[in-house]
Amino acid sequence: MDHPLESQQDTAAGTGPVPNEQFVSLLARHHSLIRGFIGTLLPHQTDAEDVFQQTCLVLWRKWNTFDSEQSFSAWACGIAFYEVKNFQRVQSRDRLYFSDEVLSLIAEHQTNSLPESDQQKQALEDCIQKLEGENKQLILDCYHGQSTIKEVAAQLGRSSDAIYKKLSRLRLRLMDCVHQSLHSAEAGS
Amino acid sequence: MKNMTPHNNQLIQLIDAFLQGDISPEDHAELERHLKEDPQQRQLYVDYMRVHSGLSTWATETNQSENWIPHPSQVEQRTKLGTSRFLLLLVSSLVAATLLLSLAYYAGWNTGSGHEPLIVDAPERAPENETNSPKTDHIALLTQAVGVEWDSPRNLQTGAGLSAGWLKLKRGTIQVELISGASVLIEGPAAFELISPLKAFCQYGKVRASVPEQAQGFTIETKRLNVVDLGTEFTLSLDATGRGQVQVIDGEVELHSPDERASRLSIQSLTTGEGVQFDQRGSINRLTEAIMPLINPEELSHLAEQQQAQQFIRWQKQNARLKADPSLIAYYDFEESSNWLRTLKNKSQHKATSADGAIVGCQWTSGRWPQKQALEFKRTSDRVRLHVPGEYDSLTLMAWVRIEGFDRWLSSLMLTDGYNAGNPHWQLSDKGEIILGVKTGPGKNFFSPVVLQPTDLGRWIHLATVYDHQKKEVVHYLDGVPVSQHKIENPIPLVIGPAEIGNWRPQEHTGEHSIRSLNGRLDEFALFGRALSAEEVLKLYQSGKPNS
Repeated sequence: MDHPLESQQDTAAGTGPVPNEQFVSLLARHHSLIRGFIGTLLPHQTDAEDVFQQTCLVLWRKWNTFDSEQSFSAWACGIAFYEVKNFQRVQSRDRLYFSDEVLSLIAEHQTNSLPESDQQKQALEDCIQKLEGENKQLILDCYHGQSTIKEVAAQLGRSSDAIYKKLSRLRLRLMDCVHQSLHSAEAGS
Repeated sequence: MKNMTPHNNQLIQLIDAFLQGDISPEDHAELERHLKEDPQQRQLYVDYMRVHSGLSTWATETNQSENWIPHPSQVEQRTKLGTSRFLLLLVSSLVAATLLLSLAYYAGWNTGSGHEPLIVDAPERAPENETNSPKTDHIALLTQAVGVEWDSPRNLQTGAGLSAGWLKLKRGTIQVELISGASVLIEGPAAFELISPLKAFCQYGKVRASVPEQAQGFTIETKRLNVVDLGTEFTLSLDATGRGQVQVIDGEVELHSPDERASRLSIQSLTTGEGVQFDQRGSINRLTEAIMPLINPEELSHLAEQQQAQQFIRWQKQNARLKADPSLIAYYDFEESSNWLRTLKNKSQHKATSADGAIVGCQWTSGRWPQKQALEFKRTSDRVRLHVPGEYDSLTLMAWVRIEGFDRWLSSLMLTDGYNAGNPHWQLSDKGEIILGVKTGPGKNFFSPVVLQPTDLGRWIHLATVYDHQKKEVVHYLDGVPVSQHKIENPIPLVIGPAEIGNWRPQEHTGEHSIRSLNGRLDEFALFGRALSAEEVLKLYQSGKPNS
């Protein structure tokens, strides 16, 4: 089997069930960064969420291998990267995923920009708040995962295709908005 | 930044198809080729995907915040969002959702900033924020309290929500359910501190903890060692000098040293039936014989029933005496022979006129004790209509009430229809003030300070307000204790006439704050045509309080 070895272990095996404070604090500070990193490697965000949760467990189990001289985010993203690869390997073959080579290129590409990720998250939230109410609602409906795009489209009386296009336009708009606000923040400081 | 508009449309289209899951193998190969060969394209991909991924996180957090009440005391929040959800995921799998929901009624509590009381017709201090934002720092509920004497100024009762902090008992036994699902029996004398839904500190006392799967990892700390429950039940007893015992009734616990540096080496685990003894120096020895387990929840609930029966009998005696008080104008004890008659009888034996109440809407329910009847005020139409004739120089209003929440700024205890000369308005504000308004020309409102705390919601409280013509003062009482005193410049006789308990019928008042329905229960209400002394109020409280 090519299951990730870590996920087969019993939680209670290695370390105690009460997370050590330093670990909890580091994870709390970096969790959106790690989640975002995983999110760029997997197209489906429900998959990304699963892998993220799995990653957290592995991080905790491997906590004693963490060297405090190291950067926590680099260490965590390294482990997350392997979890993504493991996940892809055990998934069914009918979905298309990136080859390991492309995956590593995308991951590597981000190593320099990891520290910015908190600002990015904040910038994105600010940009979302600027959207019109109906667009915000559309994002909530489509991204929260309770209903499929098809169902959302049916409810709104529109075609799935139109919803996909709309979402794409919103993502582009938000991407520009995030760029701009990060850019102006740099210029301003 | 690179790749500002115009965007590489082809790449975005490929990514969109990839996200939608309907990308063709050819296009997929094309996308991979772009990403492999061109760093600029890779950057665009990463930026676009970060938005995609960020939207998913945002949507999840936004949806969660709608049905999730934040508990700031759980852990220090180190990031803005998602931290507590996240830690719970790691520490345990789930928080007992039902308990969380049961705390939701505290959401009605409004904590605005203080204003100077105004002297106005109807009190017109509008709350600053009408949207009562959910706000509670409760991490536990007090579910039983038997024979308790508290070693703290605040007298907590069964049903009270508990924030992080100390519980100190001189004697008696309490049961506390934490929102993590863990529950603890504490036998006094004890000093026990709630720290988070999964953590507590015991200075001394006897404790029995039951920990369901959801709350695994629940820890009780002491100065010498920390007891971490890995499931089910254990007891801990500790005397003031630091000597104590831990015994596992069922399941498994771990003993950790509170000194973090030594933690890994000194973990001991105990399973069913095993126990240890430890002393102030920190030496730990296995118990050779089983100690007597503490009281169990079943016994406690049995004791609670006995206690309730005694208290009910004590109240009945007082009730018989009270009925004979000639100064009573109206006395409703809510003990009716049949619940289908919609009349709330005035039980005063000296009544000149009937002053029976007409029940509108309210449902019958249980009162301070299971044996006691009460009326529940819930809907905005629920009320008891009265007609109280006469003019009174002095007046005492008294009620036993259990407030479930403050739905609006003002909640009625008893308000006269409209607000005419000499009319008293007895009500509560959502901040927790007791208010007596008296219509004298422009009208005068006597506000107590904020005396009702969020912990007072859901518990039975005794309220009394005395309008004393002779001493020219108004005194508000909570649980038998005077909480504020106010001078009356020119006392005028009070007139009640048509009035309502638990609601208000405004005459020409169509403006704001015209809905003042009570959200809660009442099981005793009295109007005296004189000013009761502080001793009398205290006595009424003591013989009627639900917990000894």
